[in-house]
Amino acid sequence: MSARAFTTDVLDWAAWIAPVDIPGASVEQLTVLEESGPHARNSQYYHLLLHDAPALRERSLLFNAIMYGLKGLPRAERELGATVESILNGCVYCTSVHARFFVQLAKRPDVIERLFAEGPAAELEPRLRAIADFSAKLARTPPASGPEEIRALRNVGLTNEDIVDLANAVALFAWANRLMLTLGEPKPA
Amino acid sequence: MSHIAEDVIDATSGVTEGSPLDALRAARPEVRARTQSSYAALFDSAGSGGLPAHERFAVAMRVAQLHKASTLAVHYRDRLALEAQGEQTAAGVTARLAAILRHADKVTLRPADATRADLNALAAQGLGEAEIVTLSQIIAFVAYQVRVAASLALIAEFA
Repeated sequence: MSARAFTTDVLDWAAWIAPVDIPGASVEQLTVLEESGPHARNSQYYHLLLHDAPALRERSLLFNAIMYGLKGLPRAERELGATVESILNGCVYCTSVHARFFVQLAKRPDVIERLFAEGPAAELEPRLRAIADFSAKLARTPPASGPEEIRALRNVGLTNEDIVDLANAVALFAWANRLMLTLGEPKPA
Repeated sequence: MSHIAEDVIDATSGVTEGSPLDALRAARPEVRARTQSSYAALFDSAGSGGLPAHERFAVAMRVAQLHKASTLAVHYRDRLALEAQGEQTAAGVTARLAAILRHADKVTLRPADATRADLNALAAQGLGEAEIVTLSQIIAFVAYQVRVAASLALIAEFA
């Protein structure tokens, strides 16, 4: 993990196999690309995932529901869970995006600086510590989160709904990290 | 069928209608629905082209096993068994399926070690780009699914 250069800079991503050729794409593929949002339009990652357009469509809707849902755990804290897991999995691209979102939402660049320098065990205030610990344990294969992490989250004020929101974000990045890490690689923007 | 029977995470996590976990999941209806529709996109359309259905279920079973998610592993084993009925299985694990399962192991356990060569190895077994994308989505989706299920179980146990 320490060998990887984590950053909050904007990165690009290049696929290792041929993405869908957009001029030759089907109507279904073009519709799903359009639905995926403006950031997808020129992204090799989205163009690659368009090889299975129905799966991409559902995944994008799920992603939005988990990361941008209005109720429950503050968005910044979902981003922190995603960031901790991305660091542990060594996903430089995912880390760059979600650490940046955390900084923008929480106005706390110091938290990310500490995580990059010292790893997910870095000293954090109790609420963020409990969130990082649960995320790190759930990120493991098999998941290792247990009663101790649940108790810690409850002690810092998370409701069961909040815990589900955090768990869903971490679970989602078990998915996203694996796609990003195994289908291509980050490159400078 | 009740909404529970139609939802794989509910059905394999012992979520019963009207239970606290049912209410907890109902608080995020879009997440629940899109989790199931993601499953459906990867597994219920199997047979309509792309990665063959028996490979989809075999790889999902493997990923669930690697996570020690036994009820989900049984779920995929059962779907694999249904799929394999009437299909010739004498060949056992083909070189192609062995390559797919090896890839599943790496993506599940050591995703940061993956390289372009891993995708070349799949291509050498005849997998096209679309099949490689579907395979990757399945491996990564099950990694998501087991963590959602494990977290629900944990919350229920320590409610």
